[in-house]
Amino acid sequence: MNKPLTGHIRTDGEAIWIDDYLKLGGYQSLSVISKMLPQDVTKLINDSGLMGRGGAGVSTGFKMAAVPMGEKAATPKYLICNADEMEPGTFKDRWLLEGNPHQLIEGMLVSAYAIEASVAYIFVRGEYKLAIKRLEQAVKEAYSKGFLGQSLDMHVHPSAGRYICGEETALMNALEGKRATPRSKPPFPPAIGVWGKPTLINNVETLCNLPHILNHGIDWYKALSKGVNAGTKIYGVSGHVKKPGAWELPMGTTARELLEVHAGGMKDGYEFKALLPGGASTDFWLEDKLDTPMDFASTAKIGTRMGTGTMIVLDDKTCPIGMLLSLEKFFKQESCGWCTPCRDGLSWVAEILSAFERGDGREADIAQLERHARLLGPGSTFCALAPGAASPLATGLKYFKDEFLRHIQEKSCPYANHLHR
Amino acid sequence: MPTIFIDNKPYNVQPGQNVLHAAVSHGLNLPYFCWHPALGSAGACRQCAVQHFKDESDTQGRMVMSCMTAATEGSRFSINHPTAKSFRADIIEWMMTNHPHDCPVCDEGGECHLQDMTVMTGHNKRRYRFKKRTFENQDLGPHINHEMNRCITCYRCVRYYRDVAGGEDLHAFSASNKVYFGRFEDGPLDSEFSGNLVEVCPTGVFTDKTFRAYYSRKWDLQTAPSICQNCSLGCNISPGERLGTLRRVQNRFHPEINGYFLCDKGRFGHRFVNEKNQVKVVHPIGPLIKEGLMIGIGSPRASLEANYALRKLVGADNFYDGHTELEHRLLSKIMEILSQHPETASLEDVRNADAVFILGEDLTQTAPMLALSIRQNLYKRAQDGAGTQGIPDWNDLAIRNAQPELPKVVYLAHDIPTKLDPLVTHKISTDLESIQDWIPALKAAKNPVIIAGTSLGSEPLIRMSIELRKMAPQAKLCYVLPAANSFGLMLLKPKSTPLLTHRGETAIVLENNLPLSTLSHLHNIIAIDFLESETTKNATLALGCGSFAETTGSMVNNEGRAQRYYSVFERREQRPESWRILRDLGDFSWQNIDELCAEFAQEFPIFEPFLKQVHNTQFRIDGQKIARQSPEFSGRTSMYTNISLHEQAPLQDPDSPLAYSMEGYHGDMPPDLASSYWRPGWNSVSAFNSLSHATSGVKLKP
Ligand SMILES: Cc1cc2nc3c(=O)[nH]c(=O)nc-3n(C[C@H](O)[C@H](O)[C@H](O)COP(=O)(O)O)c2cc1C
Ligand code: SF4
Ligand code: SF4
Ligand code: SF4
Ligand code: FES
Repeated sequence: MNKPLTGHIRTDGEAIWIDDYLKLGGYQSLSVISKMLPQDVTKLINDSGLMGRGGAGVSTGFKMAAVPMGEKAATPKYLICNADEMEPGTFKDRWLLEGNPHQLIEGMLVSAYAIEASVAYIFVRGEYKLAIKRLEQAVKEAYSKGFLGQSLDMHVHPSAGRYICGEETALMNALEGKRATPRSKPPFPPAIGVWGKPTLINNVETLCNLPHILNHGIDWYKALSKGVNAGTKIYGVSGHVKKPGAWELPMGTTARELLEVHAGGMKDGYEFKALLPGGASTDFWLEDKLDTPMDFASTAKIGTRMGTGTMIVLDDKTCPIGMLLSLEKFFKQESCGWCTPCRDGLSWVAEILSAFERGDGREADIAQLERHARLLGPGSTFCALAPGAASPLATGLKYFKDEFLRHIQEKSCPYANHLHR
Repeated sequence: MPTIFIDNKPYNVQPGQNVLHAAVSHGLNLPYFCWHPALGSAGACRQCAVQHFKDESDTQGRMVMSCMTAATEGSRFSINHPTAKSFRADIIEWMMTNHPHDCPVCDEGGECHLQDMTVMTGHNKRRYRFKKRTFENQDLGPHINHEMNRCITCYRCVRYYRDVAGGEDLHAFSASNKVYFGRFEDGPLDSEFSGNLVEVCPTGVFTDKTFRAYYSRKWDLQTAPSICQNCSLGCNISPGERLGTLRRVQNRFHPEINGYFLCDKGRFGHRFVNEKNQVKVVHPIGPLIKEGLMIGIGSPRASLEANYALRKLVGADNFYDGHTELEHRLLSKIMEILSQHPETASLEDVRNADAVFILGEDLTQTAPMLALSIRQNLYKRAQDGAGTQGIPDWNDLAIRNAQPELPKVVYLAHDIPTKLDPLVTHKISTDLESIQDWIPALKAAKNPVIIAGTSLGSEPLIRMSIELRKMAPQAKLCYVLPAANSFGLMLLKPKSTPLLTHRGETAIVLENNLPLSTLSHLHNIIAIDFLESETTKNATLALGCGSFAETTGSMVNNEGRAQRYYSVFERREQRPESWRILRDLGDFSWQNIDELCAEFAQEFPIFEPFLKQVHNTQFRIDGQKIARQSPEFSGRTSMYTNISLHEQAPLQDPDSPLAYSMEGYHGDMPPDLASSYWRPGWNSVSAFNSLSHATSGVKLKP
């Protein structure tokens, strides 16, 4: 029971289908909530301390409580599961979607009950073909068993495929068939969301927590964690480590434990240099931060962010500037093109980093990159994509200054001969 | 009126405004792109950044987008704060990374909002050292030129074309720094309002193709305030001339009529002014020797002054309507109705109405800006709906995302599909069998408008309009009439078109092309017109007059609003006003339009309030006439040297307070005299933000 989200997921790659899911105690939380008022479910989630797992770490109960309730509330209300998972280095939701789709549906039923939503969407990354197939199958099963179709209708909506569709308001535009550009906030989705109606949107992992909290209570839930925030967390490690992967562990597990114990340490011949703790949109961490408990509060305390909790490890044989280039190229390509700093600034950043890689970097370029890292930070762009892109850039410039200078001096990439440049 | 502080100075602002709108209305130099007074805010370009302070003691502040921030009482901002100021220069630098550096060969140059904003931010040194991104252009048809490399991705074009005008064939494609604004494939733009892209786009992407074919810089164009001649709505326009040809027409803001927009008929329908087949001018013209019966046939496309002069010449008993007999009957009915119910609706009334009942008019075709006003009406209803959810009127994105349920506004009786159909709440056929269904909505409405007109030639529809009006005394009436001055002509009480059977009659036909059936009965025609027609060809005597662009006169639009249009230019071979030709034929003594109008007002007191208010030939500002040419107007001394080496003396204009000259008054002026918007640092149409938005024209009651 210390891995409530993933403990039952089969190791042969097959999903848990309805009969097995029921045998494992699935959909039991529905009988728990049937004895509760919707507001009491929200209060319970709020008290559990569950924080959203999509990256920003906002209290799930707080968001639920922001949805207007009662007679006067506009209807229909919508619940959306954000399964767009396109954050580089992040592959935790996929595990849950492919392995245990009914757990997500059950979580959505709990959430929909609490906010009195009558329509739900699972907005899923288009490339997640297997997940889409399994979700569709599971939704069909849930309908045939009568879990869905009574008070809640559910649709699986494969994304047409842009990173920005994961941003919650761009997602809503995409769902409505509009261009996937973010919306102006305020108004926030709980008040005015998809099709102008109250909408709650949560990450896959967030929603998968709900049945277990209902079934086992908040004391149990809090006890799962060894950090400040409650519950378990699916962490992941990728990079040149011995055993890249994803594991459900107590919230607050340190980066060092993840790296050294669960991922088995660096591959032979590779030294640790730095890591991005939670996808591409977070700050680089050096050795000194490895003992920080990976939870929202502890990372915020040292002025950084955990993000999705799925880390990308940088080693000594890989060019940090090459890594930055591939990250920033991604962000540039995925910029929705709505606001100027992100649209034209990230293109400039990518051009400069490409110049460094081909040995055409100049001293003035570093200042230009630094300026961009500052200007793309919070407060100047329309949404959080650009600040996300600025995080690795700003810290990369700080930690790898020498590497930039070496590229200029040697007029080429010093790692150029290595396989993994 | 709330007061806000910008750089520690207090400013009164309109309630509900955003900070950007407030600042530019006060003439402050705050650059912006994606905001537009008619489109609202989008928060996309990030150009309008200012510093926002919590209170007087806060010196740090926080950078915000002024277009996305409400100007609430006591709030404090800084335009000059170094953080916001340098950020605005950064924004321009980003936009310029891909922008061509060839203003001198760009059609927008000299009236380009991007040029102005670039200069305003002070960005002038290129640091971006990489290749520019380039696009391929599209052929968008005969009216709009497309040069995508000049795009700064402000999204104004699609927000206007799709969201405001309801067009579907222009969109934003792709993403990142490759967003492309165009059609799915080459082809003419579908919308009847595509021309506004030229003014909405702040750069040289969308420009006027008809202008480009015979191009001139803005500062080299001679302009004057004018009135569109293409339908009965009387939209305000600003035509521009150079070297004796009319080059383009731009919008001239009128708050109660066209606002910021024109239809394509109005913008591109002026080319006839440059046609070669003009009727020859005869000069001098001696008095006509009256022999036998002489009748005059007036014209709904000629000025009030010309129609009056004709009436005077032939006498009231012999003054006939230039409309068809059927039109005359319908118009008489309309005039009779309006003499009892004179509250006609302006386009602004239509934009604000809570219900609109349309009887048999396909507005997109018969009075296009009326159709656009109905689209604008529904947006206002959306603003109202979103307002109840706390969304301010300027927050365009939020309003569209809120998708408030719209009240039922548009009721249409028509038998064919019309472009407004998707907005129509309830459509019935013109046999009006189910008109009963409209009555509850009509009676319940607070400020409804009933629209009818002459286009279907149906008297029952016009009779129904008054039946509806009787049931709803709060309703305003709006009639779509056959031509620009139909209303004015009817006020001169012409007789219905004569049955012409007597030999020996002389008929003076004023600016009108009569049907062959009528012409064949006439034996002695004196035709006055600008372009050759069947009528001038069949005339005993054809006398050439000037077009609207080179004459000054007055017209009355469909709401009964009398407005004056001023001649934009004089050709080297001058073409006289029709009233001057008629003056000479009748041996009258009027030396200028004022003298004619003095007599006119005496005979038709109904025009007196208008003729009192209109800016006549005596009007001066600072003792000066108003210059039609900009101070930068070039080539004055040499532009006609191909004809004569002698410098031409400036032409005199006896009929208006305007001068065919760069000399004269250039500053702030009454809205009906302003034809070219300019402020220091603001060379594009955006200069209008800080100028007068007052109304003009005088409504007359039949
Ligand atoms: C550019 C961008 C991409 C995002 N992509 C995702 C995503 O793929 N999945 C996700 O759950 N949240 C994503 N988010 C975060 C969402 O906007 C939102 O915060 C989240 O879905 C809320 O769920 P939670 O409260 O359960 O964390 C993204 C945010 C940004 C700015
Ligand atoms: S920061 Fe701006 S351009 Fe970038 S993704 Fe967000 S809205 Fe789009
Ligand atoms: S084409 Fe013009 S209006 Fe459209 S986005 Fe580009 S610059 Fe703006
Ligand atoms: S609506 Fe009528 S008056 Fe207005 S621009 Fe178009 S044609 Fe001219
Ligand atoms: S004008 Fe304010 S963001 Fe564009």
